[in-house]
Amino acid sequence: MKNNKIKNSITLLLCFVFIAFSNTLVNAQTKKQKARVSVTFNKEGNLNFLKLSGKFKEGKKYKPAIGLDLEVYQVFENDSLVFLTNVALNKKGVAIVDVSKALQNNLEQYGFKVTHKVSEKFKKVSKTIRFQIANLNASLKTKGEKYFIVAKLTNAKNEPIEGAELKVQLQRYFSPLAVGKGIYFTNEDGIINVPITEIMPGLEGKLNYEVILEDSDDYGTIKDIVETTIGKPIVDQSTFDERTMWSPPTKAPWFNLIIPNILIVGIWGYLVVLVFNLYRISKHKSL
Amino acid sequence: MKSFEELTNDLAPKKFGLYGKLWVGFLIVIILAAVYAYYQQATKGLEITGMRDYALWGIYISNFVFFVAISLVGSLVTAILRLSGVKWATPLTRISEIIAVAAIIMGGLTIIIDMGRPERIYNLFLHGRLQSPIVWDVIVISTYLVISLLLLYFPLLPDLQILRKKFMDNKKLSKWYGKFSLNWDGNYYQRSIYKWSIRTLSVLIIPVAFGIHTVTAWLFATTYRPGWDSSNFGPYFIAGAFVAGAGGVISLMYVLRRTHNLKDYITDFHFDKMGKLLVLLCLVYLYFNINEYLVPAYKTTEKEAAHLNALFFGEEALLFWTVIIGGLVLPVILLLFKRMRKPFPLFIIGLVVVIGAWWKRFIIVTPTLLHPFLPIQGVPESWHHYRPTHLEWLITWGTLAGAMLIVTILVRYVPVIPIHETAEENNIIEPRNTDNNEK
Repeated sequence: MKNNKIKNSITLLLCFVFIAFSNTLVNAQTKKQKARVSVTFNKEGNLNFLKLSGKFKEGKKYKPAIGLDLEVYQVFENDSLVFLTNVALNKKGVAIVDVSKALQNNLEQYGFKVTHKVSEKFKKVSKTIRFQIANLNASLKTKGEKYFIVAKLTNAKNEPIEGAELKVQLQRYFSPLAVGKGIYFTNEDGIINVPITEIMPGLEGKLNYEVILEDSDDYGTIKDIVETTIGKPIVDQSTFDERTMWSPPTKAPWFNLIIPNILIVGIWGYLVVLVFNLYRISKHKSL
Repeated sequence: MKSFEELTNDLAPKKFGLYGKLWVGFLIVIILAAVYAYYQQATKGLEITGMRDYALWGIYISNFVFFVAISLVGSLVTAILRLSGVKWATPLTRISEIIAVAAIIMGGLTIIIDMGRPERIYNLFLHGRLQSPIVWDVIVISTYLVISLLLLYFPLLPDLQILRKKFMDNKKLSKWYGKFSLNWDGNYYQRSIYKWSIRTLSVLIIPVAFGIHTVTAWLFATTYRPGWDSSNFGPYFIAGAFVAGAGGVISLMYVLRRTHNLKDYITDFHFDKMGKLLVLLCLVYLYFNINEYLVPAYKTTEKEAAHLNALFFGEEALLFWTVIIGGLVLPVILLLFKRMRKPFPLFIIGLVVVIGAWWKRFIIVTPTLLHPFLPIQGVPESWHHYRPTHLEWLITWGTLAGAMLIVTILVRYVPVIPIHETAEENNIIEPRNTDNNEK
């Protein structure tokens, strides 16, 4: 009787361990990541695009959701959806979707929905963005010897947008350089007027200024670029075509080619003779 | 006076005893451990080392510079002393040639170890720029290796023939000695080619040896970095290399004197001479050290000041002063006393000088990298310092053990003191006539 109780207990314990272990394995196999997807609308000149980015948390760090498949829909007023395209996030966890055609309906507000259906690695995700169309026009104005960047922000009906925060900066190869205090607010005419106090050097005097409305809840990100030639021209001091110590191997200075090669050939010539001498010694055995 | 047979018996290589076998086993264990560590590095990359963006040269490059330095002894003892007609150095020539060969082989290997992607080394030959000191270094190291091998091999030819005859009872060994002796029988033609070759090599090795050290110095000196930006670096490296090499020869001659029972050949006189030579070399090196540190300290530019401050009073101060005082100043003072130039005290001093020379290279290479022109910002705190990892040390010990294994194998199979040359100098056998009768 007592033996049976022990047997039953052991059997129950083993069953419990087996089930718990199996459950862990199943969980391990089906555990999906929750991806965080963000969608922003960007307008740069004639380009209108959505920037999609996705990441997920692994341990304490966020990693790009590489390869995350996303479906992009346009959302209309009655919440009806029109499928636009499928995209997969790149190695940086980013994808760009051109929506220029979808913005030709002259609507007051546009909406886009981005979804990810359940996949092997990620859970279901959905994100919707709504925005209005705005236009940003920047130009260079001259007053006497002074230069100004003038930019006007208007909505789709061409009405000025007042109090919008615009960034004005000079493009560089690395991070842009803020012009003046960097951030300016539009007046009642939707205009900013930014004096250029310091003229920077540029190749052939070319300086590109950019005016940006960044991450606006209503209008997204809008950028306009003003290409100017007002910079101090940089005199090209390139030695690209010359033979220098910092040129590629084909353009090494002559002295650097001749002297080391004379030394190398001279010394190795002797070494070849010396190795040959070993052969000569082996062949000169007395008879 | 000893007979030729006694001389041959004394100087012919001998089988390892128990300690010799244990020593070889010990070296092989270290090398195998280093191979394992290198496997880790080859698969995981240089991440396993303590090197990061700033300290991108660590103990591998220090070790490389040390090997290059110690290899200079081949030209010091063999070429300079031989050409200047110094007869007392004859018993030391083979020892220094062996050290030179072992050091330069491991020096070349150490450079490859320092590479993150060694399988891409062919790109150096495909796209290497002749303007780059790194390419010069590759050329001059391979040239020096060939010259060192030839300078070891040529004087061995008569000895190998002597050994072939001595080991007639061991046919296999005798056959190998015979093959490597290249049918040497000392006839007129062979001797004239042999003498011309050794003289040519002795002349050739001096500019190449100076070249290898100067080019290695230029790897550093052609940059603007504090501590390296010096027109003095070439001679400074050569002076340091002579010190390291002399210390190496002294250490090895003491060990071989004991293990091979060579008291009649490597005498107190040799130790006394080498002790005096070491004093001279240390003094010259000290002079260059004063130049290297005093002039920048006098100018005290902002970056030099940070670098020198770290060496004199900061993070590297203990190591710096230990190396300068323990590895250079104290040996000079001690070696002024005749008692200290006796074999055992000189052996200890030689060993300290060699260890000091290794750490001196570390002081030259690493602290400079931790004082770049742009401030170190936005990186983990550990990147501000360089601490070699255990695996890095293991690989470095492996290369040192490798050099010692090459030395050990060579002294097992070749006479550590030239038999033929010693016999000739002591008139134990008549040097062969070079008159026309033998032609």
